[in-house]
Order: sequence, then structure tokens, then C-alpha cells
Amino acid sequence: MSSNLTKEKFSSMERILQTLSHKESDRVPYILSFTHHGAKLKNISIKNYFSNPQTVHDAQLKLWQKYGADAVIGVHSFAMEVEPWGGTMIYYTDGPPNSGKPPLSIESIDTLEVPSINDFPKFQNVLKTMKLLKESMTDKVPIVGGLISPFSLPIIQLGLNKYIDLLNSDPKKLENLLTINQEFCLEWANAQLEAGATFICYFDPMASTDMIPRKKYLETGYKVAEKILPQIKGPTVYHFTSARVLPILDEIQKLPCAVISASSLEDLSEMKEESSSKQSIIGNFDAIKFRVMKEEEIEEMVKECILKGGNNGGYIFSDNHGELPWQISFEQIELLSKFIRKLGKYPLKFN
Amino acid sequence: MNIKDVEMILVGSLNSIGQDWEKGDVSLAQVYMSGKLCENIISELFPEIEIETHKFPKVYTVVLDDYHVMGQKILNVLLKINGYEVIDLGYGISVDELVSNVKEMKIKYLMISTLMLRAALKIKEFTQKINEQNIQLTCIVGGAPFNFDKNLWKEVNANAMGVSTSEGIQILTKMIREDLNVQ
Repeated sequence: MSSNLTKEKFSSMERILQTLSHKESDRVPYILSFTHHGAKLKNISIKNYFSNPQTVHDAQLKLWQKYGADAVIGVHSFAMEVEPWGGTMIYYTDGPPNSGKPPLSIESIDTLEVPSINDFPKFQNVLKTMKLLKESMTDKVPIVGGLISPFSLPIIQLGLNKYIDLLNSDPKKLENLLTINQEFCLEWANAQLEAGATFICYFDPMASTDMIPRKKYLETGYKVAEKILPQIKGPTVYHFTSARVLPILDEIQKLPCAVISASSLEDLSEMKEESSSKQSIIGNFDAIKFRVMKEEEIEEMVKECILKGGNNGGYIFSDNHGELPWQISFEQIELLSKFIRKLGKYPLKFN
Repeated sequence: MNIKDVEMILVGSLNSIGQDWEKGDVSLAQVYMSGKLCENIISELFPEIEIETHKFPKVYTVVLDDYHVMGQKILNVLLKINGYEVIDLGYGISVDELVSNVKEMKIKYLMISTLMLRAALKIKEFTQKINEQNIQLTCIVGGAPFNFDKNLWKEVNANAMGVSTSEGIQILTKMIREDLNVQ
């Protein structure tokens, strides 16, 4: 691994650990959610890109060297999580793969069995990528792992409308499905950690009050998180993929997760104020708007995030969705990196 | 109580729920379930009667190049309760397929729902092809990308966007009335 980034006072791992301890290092750490962008860098199709772990590794390394983020992304595409359930991913030339038509029906839950990641090559490719990244990054740069939570997985298994029907009609079938999903997700999360992932992003948009009422989440998805998070053998980020967190933050804080995401729809300073000293925040710029921002707008956006989130650590700058759109140019990323590195230096100059 | 009274109450309720959703006071699941409940109420109270549709033109709904159908499902229900005849063009439809549909079916009013940014940006390709062929079409868009970037609907050359399905329908109704010169 070589980069002039290695000359910084803190390694990325040290920087992240420092912020998780609610202490300031040399600058605010940032994570760029590059999943499929490596395909753009390599000028190959997204499908071909993800089919080769070495290619993904090489691209992630290159992106890290160019843009200096404090983590590399080990995951490929979350849409692939539909395949163990009988679904088929759909690839595009201009965006992340889609999980396509939901493969399960509510009736099929009764005969559903837990699939194993060992039977699915795409999952093995992710693990190979993580092993390669671990060899290159050693303990200097965190490797991001992730999965769709057992509680949000039914969105792609059944379709959101059918899932909401199930949530409101059949508690027994729901419990069966969530139990099966927990077993699957636990195997997947721990396999990633064993392969080299430093932490697991637990993507659970269904937990947000944007999606279901607070009471319903506490009766269902919260119990799932309570059960599974302690069994994941590494730190976790509870990520709401752009959905609001604040209305349920008081409960999420009781869970054993190290970091909680913030939506661009929420005030980062309010998130910071309400957050406990045990957890940090990641977020919260909106990448859809960022796509078309002018340079001065990017600078303002970065400044605002740092001002609201950066003091006393406990904050990682990143987008609010957990995946940057394909349509974001590398020029935009260059500007973003420039401003976060310049404006995020501790002690912050504009307190 | 006749069906028109019930419709008025339901439409008012759904609009109120839509406004609450815009404020973040109500969840998507509650919006979806309220639409379903309203459909059930109508069919249980008046099983023999169909909601009287407007004399307005038909409204077509579609999920363009995407498989996230929730928004469209809610939209279809609310449109029907508001008295529209709705034609559901389905989901995963490509730009070229949609252009063909517009021409063959002589579509005048189209509502497009998307969740993915890439699908939202495809609308620009669609509106470009429509404009190149001088086809008269009112296109109202909605979905998460448009809510995050409030200028996106202009970028894709849509006629308007709805932050919620209720708002989208209100905008549609206003546009149709203006086109037809009616109150």
C-alpha cells in the first residue's frame, strides 16, 4: 500500500477510532460510499466489475489513493441479497443493480428454509474482495462491510406493499420470516468480519418512522435488532439509508451499535445533541442534490456538516444514503474531498 | 349517506393524511393502509356501485425503468377514490416502451413514480423524445429523488411534481381544469 496519505499524523483507522471515542484527531474522518463507481473508473460494465474481486479491490485501492477517504468499501451491491431467496438481480449501465421482482409470496413463508451464503458465488466474491482489501490495507484503513437487516430484507423478498400487509395481518408468519432472515443475516455479517471487514453497516430503513409507526417498529424490528446486533462479532453502524432517525433515536441508542446514520432531512446538530456519548453519527449530505452542486455550494455544504457535527469527535462525514449515485462525477468527488480535508482540520477554525 | 358523501369524507381524509406525511408526522405504511382501507370502505358500503369517474380524461400511471411499485400503488388507489379512471401501465417500463404507449393510447395525462435516481433521470430522455415528436402530454412526477432534490423535476422537463400522492393529484386536477377551462 503506498500513498502520500500514509504520511498523515493519524492513520484512517486511528482517526475513526478517535472519533468513535468522541475525541478529535487531526481532522474529521470521512467515508465515500463508492460501491459501483469502480466500474466507471475501470471503464467496464457494473456486472463485469462485481464479477471479479481483484478488479473491485484494485478500484477501491485506486479510489482511496485518489480521494483519501478514511475507509474502503468491501461490499458490492445490496441487490444481490435477493438471490438466495430465488430472485434475480437486474444490472444497469448507469446505476446500482436492482433486486427486480420480489421472489417470495406471503404464502411461501411457511415452507421457506434458511439459505447459506456458501451456495451463492456473488457472496463469495464479496468475501474474496474483503480478503484482498485486508491484505492491502492491513489495520491502517477500515474496510466497510454491510447488509440489509433481517427486518428490512422482506422489502426485496416480498415487495414493500406485501410486507406492510404482512406486518399488519399475520404476526406468526412475520415472526417465521424474521427468524429465518436473522439466521441468514448473522451468517453473512460474521462471514464478512472474518474475511476482513472492520465493521458492518446494518441497513434498516424499515426502522424509520418514515416507513412504519414507532410502536410497530418497537414491537417487531427493534426486537430483531436487539437479538442480532450482540451476535454480530464486530462493530456495527445502524444505517437508515436516508430515512429519518430522530423520532426513534432514543430507542436506537439503547442498542449495541457504534454509529448511527443521520438523514439529510434532519438537522445534524440536533442529531449530535440528542446522541449519546457512546455512539457516533455518520452523515448526512444528500448525494442527489450534491450531484449538481457548484463548487461554492459544495464548500458550504461541507462547512455546514462540519460545524454541526464535527466538534469533539463523534462524527464521520458521509452521504446520508450509504451509496453514492453513479451520476456523481469524479470531479465532484475531488471537490468534496478537497473541502472536507481542508475545512475538517482540528481544531475547527469556525466554531 | 350516499356514495358522494362518503367519497368527500374519504378524499378529505386522504388529503389530510398526505399532508401529515409531507410533514413527517405519518409513515408511508399508514398512507398505504389508509388508501387500502378507503377502497375497502367503498366496496363494503356500496358493493354494487362503482365510484363515479369524472368526465375528465383518463390518467395513466407508470413506474419507469424501476421495480419499486409502492408509490404507484398508493397513487392508483387515491386517483380512483378521487374519481379518476386510472390506467396502470405497470412497472419496469423502458423509455421507448413508454413513448410507444403514449402514442398508441393517445395519453394526455401521465403520472410517473420513481424511487431510484437513475430512473428519475430517464424521465428526461422520455420527455425529450415526446417533445421531439410534438406530442402533447402533461407529465407529473413523484418519488424520493424528487423530494430530496426539489429542482429535479425541472431538470427532467416534467410539468410538475407532487411531494405526496395527494399533492400530485391536486396538481393534476388543477391542470386538467385549466386545460378544459372548467372550475
